Amino acid sequence: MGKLIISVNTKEMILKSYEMGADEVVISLNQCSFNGLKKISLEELDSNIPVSIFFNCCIFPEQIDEYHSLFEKIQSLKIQSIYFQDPIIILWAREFNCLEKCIYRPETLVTNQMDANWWYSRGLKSVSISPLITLEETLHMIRNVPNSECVIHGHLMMSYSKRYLVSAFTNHNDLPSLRNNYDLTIQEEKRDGHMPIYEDENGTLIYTDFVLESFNELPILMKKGISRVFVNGEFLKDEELLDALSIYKQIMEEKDVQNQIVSFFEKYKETSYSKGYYEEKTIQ
Amino acid sequence: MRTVELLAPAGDLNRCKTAIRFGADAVYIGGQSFSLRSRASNFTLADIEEACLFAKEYGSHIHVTVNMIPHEEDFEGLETYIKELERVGVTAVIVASAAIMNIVRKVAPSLEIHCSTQLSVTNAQTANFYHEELGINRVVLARECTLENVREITKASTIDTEAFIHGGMCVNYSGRCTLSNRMTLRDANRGGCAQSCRWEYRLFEKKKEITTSKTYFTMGSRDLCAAQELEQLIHAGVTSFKIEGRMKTEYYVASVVSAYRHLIDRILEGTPLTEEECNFYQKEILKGENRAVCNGLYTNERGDNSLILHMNSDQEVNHDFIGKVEIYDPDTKSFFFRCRNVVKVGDTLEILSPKKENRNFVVEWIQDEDKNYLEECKNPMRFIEMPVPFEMEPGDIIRRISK
Repeated sequence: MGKLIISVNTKEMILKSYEMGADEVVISLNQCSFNGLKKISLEELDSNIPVSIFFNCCIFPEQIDEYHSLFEKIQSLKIQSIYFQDPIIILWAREFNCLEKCIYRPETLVTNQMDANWWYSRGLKSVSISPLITLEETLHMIRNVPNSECVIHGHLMMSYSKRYLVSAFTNHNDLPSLRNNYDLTIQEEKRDGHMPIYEDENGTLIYTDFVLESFNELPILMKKGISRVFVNGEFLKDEELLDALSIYKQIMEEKDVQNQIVSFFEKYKETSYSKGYYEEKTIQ
Repeated sequence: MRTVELLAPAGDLNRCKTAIRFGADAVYIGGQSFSLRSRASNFTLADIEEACLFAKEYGSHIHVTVNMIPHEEDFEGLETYIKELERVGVTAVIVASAAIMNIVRKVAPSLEIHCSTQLSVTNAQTANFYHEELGINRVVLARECTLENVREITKASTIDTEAFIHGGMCVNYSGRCTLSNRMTLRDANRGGCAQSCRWEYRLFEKKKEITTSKTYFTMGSRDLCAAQELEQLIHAGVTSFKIEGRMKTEYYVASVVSAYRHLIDRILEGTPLTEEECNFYQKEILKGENRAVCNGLYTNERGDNSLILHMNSDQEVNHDFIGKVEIYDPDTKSFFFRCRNVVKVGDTLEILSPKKENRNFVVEWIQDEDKNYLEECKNPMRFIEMPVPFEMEPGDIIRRISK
């Protein structure tokens, strides 16, 4: 059976997620993680509880010593996986003999089996398939890429900027700072959806207005042999996240959850659930 | 004397030849497939072959963008295409996919592989990783690098570096933005970017709107102009300096390439540029630009002043493109061209000629094809003649410097 992975916003959610059936729990650390999860400091973590980490910043020359040292420090934790997108992490992982824990997840760049297999053959634990491709394309990749992972749930990262876009706006308009604020959204003038936007010291991120869900697709992914499925925790309430996790776990155990799915959508009808790009092929 | 490469964009064969004539050491172009600017990729293989032959005459080179992030179906025909690029004399391909890099090495080993800025290389170790594991020959640095970053990466890298010096900038890390995918289903990583970052947005904190009808949230970036930083970039050891803009006009290509050519040649003379000289060259470069510019993130780590926070550009265009010389008659000391903008007797025009200082003259008379004298020509593409007090060549660019 494949592994069920979830990313969470708080230390408390780590244990709760394991209790609910997660096989791995991913957190964001101060400094080296660049996503919309709330950050946890290294000191807060219990070295006896297994955890996975987003080490996914673009790393600039002036950050190398600090991040290399942080990378060394996390080796003292019970690390299950390290998610990265800058290949400098492969070099550090070779140095600390932890390449088999590393997962290449550049969000947008792995859209075909040849690229995925090239990265996997560096000795990595897994490669995360881009959620920008259709279900059919995803299934093709799963069949042809060993141990691949795909995101099945959550807001999807839509853009990633080094610039402080929110601060540029607030400064320009003499407004109070909105840095590190998890309650911000933007809405395109002619469209309805509200897209979470988040700025911290690493820059600015924008996520999709919709929340991907794959309750009906997970059995199909499992049938094709998916090794790892990922639930994104960014901008979702803990209860909603755990409810989704529970349903996915039961689906993986081949339990009948149709009634729970109906109840889930009724309970969270305010959330814009969507099938993402599963049936929508982007054009050139 | 050290040489560096001025790398210009071209959206078609005409603009490619113009870029080379005006001093580009290399031109990057896109074929009809596999490129990231689908609307700017008009080069057939025959065009690419002609571009290579033309470039060879001038000691210049052709680079071809094969920088899409491919889906499974995008590999169809790729090997044949890559082999053809090698056969027709292309120097390098610009690539963003490890799979495509491997294909290039396998089927066209004489082609150089330049790692696209889509892969956001921001440190030397990563550049060296791609060199060692995929055999790349050059890395195009992420536009998020500061001048100091460029210096350090270039020094510690085992391969050549290429840096952007002019043109449009993505506000997000290249290759990591899917705003266009979501808004329009056009895949930004396969040539379909709709520039959704330049649209207007409303900003909310929970349910409360922070924007007003006068203060829309926008993310569009000003264009890059690194004229002030170019001397330092050259001294940092960067090999190639890239101008963005395969969608831009022939006038833009001629004007911007010509100005950067003069600036680079001046820097390579060896004595430091004075502030006055630097300002002069920047002004020349901006004659071809009609969008607001900034120096990117080179001296301002977060590009604080690099965003367009209102919809109107603050840059005024003060030079109009009038046309391109088609015929020069040394006997009558006059030239013929198709007029692109209004021109009248008494206007001062400036001529851009490859490898020459710009020259001005005042329009004394204008004749149409039937030899009728005109006070002014208002009709676009009308074929007209006017006298000029110096020699010219077909292809020279004519622009107005006073209205």
